[in-house]
Amino acid sequence: MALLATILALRRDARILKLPPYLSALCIIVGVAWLLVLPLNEYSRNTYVSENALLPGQVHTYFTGSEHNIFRAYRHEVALLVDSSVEERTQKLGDLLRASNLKVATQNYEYHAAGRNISNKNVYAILQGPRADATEAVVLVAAWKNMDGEVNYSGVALVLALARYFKRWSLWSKDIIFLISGDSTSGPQAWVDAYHDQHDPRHVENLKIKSGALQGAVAVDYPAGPWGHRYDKLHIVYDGVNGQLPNLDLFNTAVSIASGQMGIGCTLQRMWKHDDSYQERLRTMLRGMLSQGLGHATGPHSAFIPYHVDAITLVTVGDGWHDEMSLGRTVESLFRSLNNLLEHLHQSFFFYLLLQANRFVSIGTYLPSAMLIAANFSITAIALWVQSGRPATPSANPIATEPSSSASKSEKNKGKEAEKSKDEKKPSMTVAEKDGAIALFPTKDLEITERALFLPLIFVLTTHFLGLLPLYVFNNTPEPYLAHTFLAVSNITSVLPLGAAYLLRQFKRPTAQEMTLIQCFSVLFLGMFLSALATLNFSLAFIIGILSCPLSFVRTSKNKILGTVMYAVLALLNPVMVIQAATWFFGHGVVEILVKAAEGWHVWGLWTQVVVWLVWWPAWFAGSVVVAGGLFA
Amino acid sequence: MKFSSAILPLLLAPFAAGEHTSNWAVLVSTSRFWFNYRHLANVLSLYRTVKRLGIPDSQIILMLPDDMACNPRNAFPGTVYNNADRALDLYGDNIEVDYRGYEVTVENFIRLMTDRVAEDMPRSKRLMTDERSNILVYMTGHGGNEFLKFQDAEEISAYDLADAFSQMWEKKRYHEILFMIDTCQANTMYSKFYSPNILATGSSEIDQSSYSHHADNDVGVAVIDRYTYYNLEFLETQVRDPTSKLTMGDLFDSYDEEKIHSHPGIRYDLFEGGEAVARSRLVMDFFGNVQNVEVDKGGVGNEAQWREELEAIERMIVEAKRRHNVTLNVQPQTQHVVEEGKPAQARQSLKKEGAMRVDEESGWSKQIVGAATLLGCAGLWFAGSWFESH
Repeated sequence: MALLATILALRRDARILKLPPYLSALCIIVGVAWLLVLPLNEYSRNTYVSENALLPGQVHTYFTGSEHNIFRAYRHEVALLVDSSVEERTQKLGDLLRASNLKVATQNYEYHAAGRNISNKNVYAILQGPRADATEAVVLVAAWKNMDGEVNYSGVALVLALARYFKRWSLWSKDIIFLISGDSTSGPQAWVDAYHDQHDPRHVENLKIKSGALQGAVAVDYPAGPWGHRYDKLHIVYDGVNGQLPNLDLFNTAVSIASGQMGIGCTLQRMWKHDDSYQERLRTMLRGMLSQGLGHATGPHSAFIPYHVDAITLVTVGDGWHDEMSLGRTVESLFRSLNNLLEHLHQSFFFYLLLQANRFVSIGTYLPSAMLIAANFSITAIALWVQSGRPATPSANPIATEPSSSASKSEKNKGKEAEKSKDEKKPSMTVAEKDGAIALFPTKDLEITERALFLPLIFVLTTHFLGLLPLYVFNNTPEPYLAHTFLAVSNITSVLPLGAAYLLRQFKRPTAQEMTLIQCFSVLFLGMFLSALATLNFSLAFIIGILSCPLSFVRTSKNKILGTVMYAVLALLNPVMVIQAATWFFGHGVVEILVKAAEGWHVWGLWTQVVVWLVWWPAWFAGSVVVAGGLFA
Repeated sequence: MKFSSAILPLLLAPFAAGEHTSNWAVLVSTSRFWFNYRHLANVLSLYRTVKRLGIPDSQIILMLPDDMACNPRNAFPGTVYNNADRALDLYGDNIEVDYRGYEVTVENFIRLMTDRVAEDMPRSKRLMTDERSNILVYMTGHGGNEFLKFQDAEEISAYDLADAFSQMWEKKRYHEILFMIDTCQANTMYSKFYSPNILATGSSEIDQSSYSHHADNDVGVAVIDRYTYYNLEFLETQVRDPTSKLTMGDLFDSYDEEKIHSHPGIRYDLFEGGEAVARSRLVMDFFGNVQNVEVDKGGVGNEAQWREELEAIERMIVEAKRRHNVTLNVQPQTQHVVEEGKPAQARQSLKKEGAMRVDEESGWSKQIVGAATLLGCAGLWFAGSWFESH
């Protein structure tokens, strides 16, 4: 009982209130350190194929010999189509597929994003498994143009050659769909949307023929021209839209077949050289996190992943001695493995960070990192809530039996002046009596502080709705105006907190308590959202958590210099400024990114903007207003 | 007298020497799915071997949960191979699967073993053994410590199996059992057996995996397990025909841990006579059909004995004829032939009864029949003496 009373009394201890900022800082430091130890052997694991049915690399591949001549012939056919119109091209590609005795269909699509018109045509063919029951299918994709805009000559030719070759096997337990999409991102998106009847018929044509449930998709990106090009490594791209990932088993199977069976090295996240050192692993992981955090489509496979169709893209890179046939055999072996599947890929991880082709960190190991960062906001929110409910100056040490005894001792040595101040501090006490026991309380502690919730709640809600404005503007501004819009938005958002704080000050409103509550709600919402997001898109939650962690420490300060410094720091971490800095750092134009983002919004179903404008930006704005409030006090 | 002394040892021989009179085999694969191709190939290999060694299809219960031959993934439709050389199609054109697909369940397996089946269960799905039957029980699939998984849906535990065998013993359903199992941690499966006359062997110890032998790169899956592979190797290369005199000891000695990659276990203690007797059992006692034809190797002494026996039989025939003639001499004169026929028949049936009485209960009815016969005989004697005196 006494212990309980002590603990309850501890709630009111002033020292407890000093603790949260340190706790928050500790969370952030541990969170970041956690991420940094992940590449070590002790915290990461070697990959392994978890699904028994896959049996990667256990079959002989026969895509060699005369198939090579057929492949080369197809490649020349494809090269002839470069200057043709979309109609001619799809017609010819369809004829080539039809010549292999496959059912062929085409699909037109036309999207509008950022004032641009994205229109093209997909052509696809279905190979019905001779002894299959037509309930499942796997997809082999080659985009006409790859992510860099190069014509995917050899990739398309390989799909044509493999279609002809696969048709001659009798062992397919699933249908195989060969898709040659008009481009690398929107084309597959249109096709896979229409396949699942999730498309808007105004923009995307219905699919005329379909097969069973998609079990997996593999895309090939091999832009070598009609005379070929020998490559060095396979770059396996696996990020899906919104940072969703394919089942790790698919990636592992591809790596196992390429490196184990075919002797082709595998690389990921554009790490062309990887010496398996700590730095390289960390770099790979951070690149993977950045890519996942941005959530953009990284290849033709990306569109499939939101439909729970595991997919990867194989990209050839470098100059080496592997020829097109080895890529063909890799795909053949991969399809034999997928053909072995009895059920959807489900055994292995869907949430992972890859450190290199055969090393990964699973969600259980990395999740605490982002969770700790999110928790730091929640701690701050709780501290601010408690603080808002107490008198402006809490009593120093209410649980000590002799208040300020240690303080008085030290102060005695300081002499008169201190004695005087001590007298001043002496609190007025109230005597309470219950069941014959008598206790003394500081009167101040017995006062009940009401929290004025209305203004803070309205302010935080308004701030979040305000985020809809830039979200709408950036997603619907035509490309030529994007640069100006961006400039305007960055200028406006930089000064808007000052203006808002000044305006509020004119109404003599946010009191100190209301300021605290504004920050409390804003940070609370940020913390809750980030911890939820961490389970879905760890990287995005981590990046936003790190970029907004100063929000835990800024306060309305009477000190003008401190206030200005804090405001300057926040101004630098303005989401708009961060976007500007990041695009400059990675060597892209802001407009290019914004156009992609708009395309993502309208075509791919990208949610990153929502998180940026409706979560991150409002939190930043509320924090900045809180700081700016101090400047006008 | 001579006749009965010649017959008696023949009748008692099986009881004395513990021989069996029939051979049965229960071959069970417990896993389905394409990547478990090898488990079905294991079982089909054993099936082929026991058939080769003489157990007829009617005495083999084959349980196959999946049909690999017709799987769309099979690059060679209609076949199952247990070797990458694909020299021997195990599916062939003559296999009889008794339990297939989802019929392969723990319940059906235990019902089969203990013969607790419905009236209408076809004979092909029943284990019609008796106390003179030797049974080979071979199981393969995915197992663990004291369990064996059936079809990803259920498990049979080592206790279930031990209790099933115990019931079989109580119901006099076997003479001797050879229990052979190829799964991970296989040896735990027979650790709970407590019924007599079971010789058990398994592929791997507790916490050990059982490994596949090799994969066929065109079929694309592993085609056989190591333990089964080396058992088959012995059976195929050493036990060439049903007259093989190789013993179980020879089979067990052929196990090479280096090759099998796990520690095969053998359990002798349940066997009457222990290790020595168990090891001396012929491989053919379990893998082949019973062949009770004794082939003499054509010695002169034997021929003399054979002549002697022939002469003895000849003498018996002469004696029988003589007795027959005696009765013929007596019978024809009387008018009471018809009347007399009854007692004569009664005497014959009495003889038969006497021979069979060994294992039959005597009842009042039989006592009465006996008394009536005696009275009949007495009457006959009186009648004879009355005719003679007149």
